[in-house]
Amino acid sequence: MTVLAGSTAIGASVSRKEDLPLMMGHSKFVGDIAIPGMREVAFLRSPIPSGIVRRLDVPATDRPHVILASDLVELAPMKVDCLIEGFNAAFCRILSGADVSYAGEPVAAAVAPTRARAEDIVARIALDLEGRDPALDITTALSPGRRVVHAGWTDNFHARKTIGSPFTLPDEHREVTVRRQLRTSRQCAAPLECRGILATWDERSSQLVVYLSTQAPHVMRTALSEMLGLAERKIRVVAPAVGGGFGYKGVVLPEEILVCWLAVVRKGTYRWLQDRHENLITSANCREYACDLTAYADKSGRIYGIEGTTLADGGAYSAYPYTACLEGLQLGGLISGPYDISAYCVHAGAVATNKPPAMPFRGTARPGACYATELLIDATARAVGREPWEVRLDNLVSAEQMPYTNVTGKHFDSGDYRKCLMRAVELVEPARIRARQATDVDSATRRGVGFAFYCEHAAYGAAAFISLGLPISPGYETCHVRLLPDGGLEIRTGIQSHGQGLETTLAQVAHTILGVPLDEITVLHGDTAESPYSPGTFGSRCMVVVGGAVANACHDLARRVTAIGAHLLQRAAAETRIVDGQVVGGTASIPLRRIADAFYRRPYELPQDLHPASLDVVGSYRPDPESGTFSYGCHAAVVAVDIDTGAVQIESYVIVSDAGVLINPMIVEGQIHGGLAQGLGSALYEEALVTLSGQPGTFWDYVLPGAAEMPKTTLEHMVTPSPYTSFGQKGMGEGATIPAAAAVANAVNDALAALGIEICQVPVTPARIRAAVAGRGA
Amino acid sequence: MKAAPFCYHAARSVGEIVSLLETRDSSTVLLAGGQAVIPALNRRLCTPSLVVDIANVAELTIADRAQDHVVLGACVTSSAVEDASVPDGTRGILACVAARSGPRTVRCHATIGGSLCLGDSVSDWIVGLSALDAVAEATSACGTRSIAVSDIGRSRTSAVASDELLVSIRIPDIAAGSWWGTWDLRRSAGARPDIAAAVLADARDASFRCAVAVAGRALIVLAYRDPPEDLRKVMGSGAPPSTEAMLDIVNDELAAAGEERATARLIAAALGRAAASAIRV
Repeated sequence: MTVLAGSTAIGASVSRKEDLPLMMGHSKFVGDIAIPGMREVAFLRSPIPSGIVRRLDVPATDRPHVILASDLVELAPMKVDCLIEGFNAAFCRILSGADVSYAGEPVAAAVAPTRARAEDIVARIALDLEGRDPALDITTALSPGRRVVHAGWTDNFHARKTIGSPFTLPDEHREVTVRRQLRTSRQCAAPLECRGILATWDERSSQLVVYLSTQAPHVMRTALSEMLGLAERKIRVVAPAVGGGFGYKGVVLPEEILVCWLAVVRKGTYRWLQDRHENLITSANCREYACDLTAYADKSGRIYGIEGTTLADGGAYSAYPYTACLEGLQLGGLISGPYDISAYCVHAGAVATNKPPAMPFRGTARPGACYATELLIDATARAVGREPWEVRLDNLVSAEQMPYTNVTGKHFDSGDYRKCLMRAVELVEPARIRARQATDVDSATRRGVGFAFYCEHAAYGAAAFISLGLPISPGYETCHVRLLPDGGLEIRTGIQSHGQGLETTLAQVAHTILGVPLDEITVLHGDTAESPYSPGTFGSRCMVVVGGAVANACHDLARRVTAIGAHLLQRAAAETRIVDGQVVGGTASIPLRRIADAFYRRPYELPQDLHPASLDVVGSYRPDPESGTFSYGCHAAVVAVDIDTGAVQIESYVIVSDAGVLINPMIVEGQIHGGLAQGLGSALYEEALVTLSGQPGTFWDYVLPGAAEMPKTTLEHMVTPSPYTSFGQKGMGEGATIPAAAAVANAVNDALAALGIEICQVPVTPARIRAAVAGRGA
Repeated sequence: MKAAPFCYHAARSVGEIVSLLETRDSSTVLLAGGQAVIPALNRRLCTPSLVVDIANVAELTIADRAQDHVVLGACVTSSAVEDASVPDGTRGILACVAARSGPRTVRCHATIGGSLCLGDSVSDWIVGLSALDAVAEATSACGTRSIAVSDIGRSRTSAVASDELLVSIRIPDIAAGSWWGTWDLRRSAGARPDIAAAVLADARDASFRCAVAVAGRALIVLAYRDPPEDLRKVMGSGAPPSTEAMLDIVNDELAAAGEERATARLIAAALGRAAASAIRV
């Protein structure tokens, strides 16, 4: 797309409208909101992963300020339906009264004028637990005879599902068999702002007003309505400034239900601000997988079939609304990646353990799936003695096959995957690395190059949700667009923008259609009282579906203002069009401001036969087909590995990305860099360890990457418009997170290949590398 | 989390602190830069009845130049050293150590004495000051004594008694033409090192002094009055020797320290990299 200099339309790298208050510290987060009389809430949490409550004593003077499970008889566990056959239901309890199932599980809550005093009360509660033998990892949880995590279960699976079906390949398609057992480590979604909620009962409106750090205010309202037994119209959810979500703020926590219950029952104001430690240990866990996969290929490395198992540690409970299936079962359907593979049979499982519930985190399941697939590709390449990129090239879906429905039913909308890979190869020059490797054979520093290819399923609809057992799915996305009397534009949407730059990009869509200057457009979001219903911000959906809704509304508004403008210009409507915020007919023109003024304040100027529809337009959009978009890309890392110390240095990093038409390339690049940082966290740094007794760690040992860890990155775009969206755009917010761990891990394995070492677990820590080197007797 | 209730007292003199320490019960905590104590208070890992703020005691923030050494008060911050706000007789080495001791936001508050009292053997201050052969001075109601910083690293906290106040650190001057090298392995720039090493080749007497620590293990100090020629060649070479070559040099000392083979290899690799990266000061 050619973008004219100075343009602020689609395709222009416009500075973000929302950044000034953030940079100046003027934004208001939940923690910045205080209401007179507000009470702070603190929680007593289980110190052990599994046990029976033997004693829970609250001093009599504290009892009025303490909430126990016995006080919540009218609050049921956070039940969410799942359609998967054999699904074991275990839903988060608001407070656990009889037993505990993970360290950090809320057992009691205390309220006080300050958080410190609430914690003082918590400290005075006596909790005695009789410990039980916990299941702390996938292997232990599935070992024969292991105690089940929840009474009444027959095994420790939340759910299981087979994706594909058993197959038999001809001998020429299974000349090479490559089997790998791959593991990813438990991570923690760590947005800059932790969870936070302030709930207050508003007597005037007779409403529960909830200020919530969420990325889906309407879904949260529905959830609160169901769980509190309060009509949705009696609840208003406001998401103020939200400091990152990454999917984790799209689920409901029991702590949040309790705070709302307090506000309703006690008709007061209550706030809980999750602290950093609570965020780490209690609720933001994710991405702990164990995969055992086999690829069948011919002698060239052309892969014809993949089979095996994928297991995800789902923790103790299914979180609302996605259940443990979102991660656990989705993982099993993603192993074929962007490749043209004809036979597939993967048994996927979400395993219950005595750890916090697994929750979605940027790219849910896809980073782990990409890691597994891409390591399998590299292992296949080594088995057949070819360059990994060559084997990738032979297996990728070709441009001629697009649109392409893969072996697990995913419909790739468009793209030239092979061209993308080859551009990354050109930029990386693997031959240069091979030459360097030849001279490094006696050095402690070994260099390696690793590629990873991914496609990112975004903005998907009902079919994908139903396949995961979720009875609810996103449908029509709606927005309100209002032309104001002064010619400014208000866009109201039910999603929540918490870093994605949607206040800018949605304005760019409206500006492109109506020509209203960008600084005269306001995007309002995050408040159920002021916006139409929306499933919220997740799954890289907003620019596709909300962008589509804004476009539809603006086109409708354009028709209405054109009709008025034509009348005011004394022209036929067919002779007029909108140019740069004006209705133009021949040599005459009239600005939208003048048309709005006529509509609202000078009705006598309007045509007698004007359709009475106002300049306040509701627009809806539902993708057709609902199969979603597939942005894609290739990441390549060049690393230097110190085999004596295990240190890994990323010397260069290349990204070639195709997200279709880029509404705002600068924002897309910001998303890519941010995604890469989190992907590198998976690759090298983040691992939420628990001790043998189930004790979680701290940020002392949970290492998050920062700016200093970001490598020098070369980023190039390809643009293949999606045929299924309003402007050819594709969802891309999660993409760069997906392949980074695979690219780096493949690069490390490439560096260590001469030593006969292959590490199949991330993060690739110095200790793991040293252990692997020591294991070979170096 | 928020701290449990405690009484706060801003001390005005070393004598006052010593008196408080003499009568302290186990729930009195000294607060200097607060970079370790405040998080511990907030997480209620310690719940003292009394917190004694010592950060503004004049005797603890001194910075005195003597003939062959500098004395820094225990409450001098890392940033003060880094920014050359205090005398430095080490020809810039001390400022380099300070600049590595955590993120700048931490360095602005964290004190040298606080870092030593934490006793984490891989801390930049313990490794760096041990290689510089610095000595801390501690005082109590029983009197004043000197403690080698390397002994703090070796003993990991127990070197400073609970009734003692670490008052100052004496850092010997470094002669022109000396070589100084450091190396560490951190999971990220702001993380605590997994392993840290510092090597000093002193131009005054041609001696070598190396300090190295692996997280969770005691500090190891290797001092050579007459350093091995192979080690001398490595200094400032820019090319780390093979780990085997370094092991040949230091293996006996590491074996004597009871280090296992894998740890000894790692220590040797760290020392080799620190020595190879040395610069002349």
